[in-house]
Amino acid sequence: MAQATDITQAYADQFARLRATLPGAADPKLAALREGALARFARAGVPTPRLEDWKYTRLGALLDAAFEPAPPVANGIGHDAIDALSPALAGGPRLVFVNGLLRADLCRLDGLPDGMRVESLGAAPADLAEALADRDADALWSLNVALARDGAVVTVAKDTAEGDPLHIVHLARPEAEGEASHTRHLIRIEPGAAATVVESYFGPDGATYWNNGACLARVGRDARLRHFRRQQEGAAGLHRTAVRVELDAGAAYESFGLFMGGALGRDEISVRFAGEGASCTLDGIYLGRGTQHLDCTTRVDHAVPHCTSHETYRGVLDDKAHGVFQGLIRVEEQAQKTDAHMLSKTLLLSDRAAVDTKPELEILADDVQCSHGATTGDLDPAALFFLRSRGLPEALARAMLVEAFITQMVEGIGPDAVRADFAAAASAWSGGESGGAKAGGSA
Amino acid sequence: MLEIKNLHVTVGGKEILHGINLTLDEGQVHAVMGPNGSGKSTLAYVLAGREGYDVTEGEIVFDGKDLNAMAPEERAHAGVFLAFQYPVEIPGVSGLNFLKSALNEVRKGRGESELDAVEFLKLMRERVSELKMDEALLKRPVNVGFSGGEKKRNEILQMSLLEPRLAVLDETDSGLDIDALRIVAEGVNSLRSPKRAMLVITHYQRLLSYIVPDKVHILAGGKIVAEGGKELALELEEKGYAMFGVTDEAA
Repeated sequence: MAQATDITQAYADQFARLRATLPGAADPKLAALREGALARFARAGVPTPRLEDWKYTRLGALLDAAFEPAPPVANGIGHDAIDALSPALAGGPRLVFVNGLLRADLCRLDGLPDGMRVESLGAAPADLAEALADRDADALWSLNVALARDGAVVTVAKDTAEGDPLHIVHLARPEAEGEASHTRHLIRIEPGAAATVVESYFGPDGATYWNNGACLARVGRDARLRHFRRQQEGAAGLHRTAVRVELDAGAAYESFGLFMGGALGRDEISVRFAGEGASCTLDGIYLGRGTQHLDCTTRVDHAVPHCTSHETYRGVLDDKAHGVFQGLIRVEEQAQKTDAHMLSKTLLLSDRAAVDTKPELEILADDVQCSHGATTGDLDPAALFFLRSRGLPEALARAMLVEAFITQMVEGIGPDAVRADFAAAASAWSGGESGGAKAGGSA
Repeated sequence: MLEIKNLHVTVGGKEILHGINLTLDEGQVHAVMGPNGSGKSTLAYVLAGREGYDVTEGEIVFDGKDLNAMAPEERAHAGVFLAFQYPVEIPGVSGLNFLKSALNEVRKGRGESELDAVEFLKLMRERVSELKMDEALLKRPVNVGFSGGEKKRNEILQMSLLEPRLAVLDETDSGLDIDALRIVAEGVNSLRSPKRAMLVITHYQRLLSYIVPDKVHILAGGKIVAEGGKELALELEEKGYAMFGVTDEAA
């Protein structure tokens, strides 16, 4: 195994090689921002289980070698292949990133809601510095800041009414072995506006590649963002994305994640309430089998009074899959009348599957309503017996109950097209009748 | 059709049934009455094959087959049906999808062809209207948000769709008001047939005013303590379980 210093040096070399080509390279302020981020990464290194936050997740291949940026890919994929991955979303507006670089020819912007503006981070828009914010970041977020070559900058103008979901598709090319993408998105919802963004991740089954994505979302006063993520990386893929959300007064953020791909996945979401009367729901499902490791880590900071956060995560783990749910709710001293609830339920379908759950409440205020709960177990034996007593063979009865466990979450998804897309993907996983998109990418 | 011989059943290491003998012929309806804790539900579950209900002695012969050697679904395919005392809620499974899967699995098990969606809906609607059920209930997840009466009617609906050879009704009357009881009893009576047998398990006589049994077995302390015609239920109603020297905390 490589020494940690070799890895950080390799990324420093990579940065030195790429820096002149990175968006905003000519701007000394931006160059300093990237250098600072690289230095922070170099000091911390790739996270290891020695860090409390990474106790249950070992980053495997990422600790052994530095992953290289992919060359631009100009062909090999068509609209049809992308449509086939998400049939229910195929007609709507979309952005497509291949190995972290925007493929303009595969985007579809004609259906973009009025009031929604989309720019490429690679084209160094005026607000690049905002997109590259590196405050309170961990090492991988900092590495993303240093090496980000592209991403979406989405701005939804004040009082824009809800339109069709914007679909941001991330693909890895079949030759992606040893390659990394550091895609970076900025989503800004201006006061009183509403929008829906869906992010999907697909990749080839044969390659060990790394997605190190980052997304910063700012939701203005009385605005709403619905944010969906479908993680269906290739079987050997490594996936780590971090979403950071800042909510102004009266803002609403609704998130739903379906995490089912990759050899190793870690999806982080961190929400900070900056104004009173805001709310967020963080929901997610992780579905693992084989030797997959899927980690969902959330953090909600109640920094101001009168905010609401509801979190529900469900996991289904089969074979030797390993799941992690870490959820931290922090309520500051001044954040009175906080309403914060967190629930994690995991189904273990095999004796060798395992889950680590770590729900945490840190409450400094005294007038709050907060709760957390976590359950782990097998299918309900009474329900299983009931179904079998009606003639359903055990395997079918089990599959029906697993699908039901997942369906209960998916049916809560608001936008019809997104619900259909996620239901099909989850159903394909659990072997249900309504199976839609094939698992695994075809990029 | 059903022959229970010297049946001993253990649950969680404790023997609950201590040598039951009971014979039920085609076309007959028998009642099993007993106080709480007498082993009535144990008898129902062991017939349906619930895990954890272990036969330690004796046998259950159903249409010449050893029922105890069969999985719950195999029993269902062979024609055994248990109407649950406490029907299970299954969030996330649509009622219609469940009914269609159950019916087609049982039909496959009987060597019949599966019904397609149109045929299934037609049959289901007929049976739903016979039971005066609200069809909208079936679009919901199985039993979720159902009243006690709706759950019991849903059990009878399943029975009428699956057309079992042997129906075991476990305290189908419990938790029902008199109107719901009448509807459920009518549903059961309409399913009486020379080819079908029923075992009606109940604590109280009142259900047996509507579903009149050919024979009554009194179960107490895990044993059959008395047997007789339908008049035995009336006598029991009058004198209470004390006539068999047992106390009944619920009476």
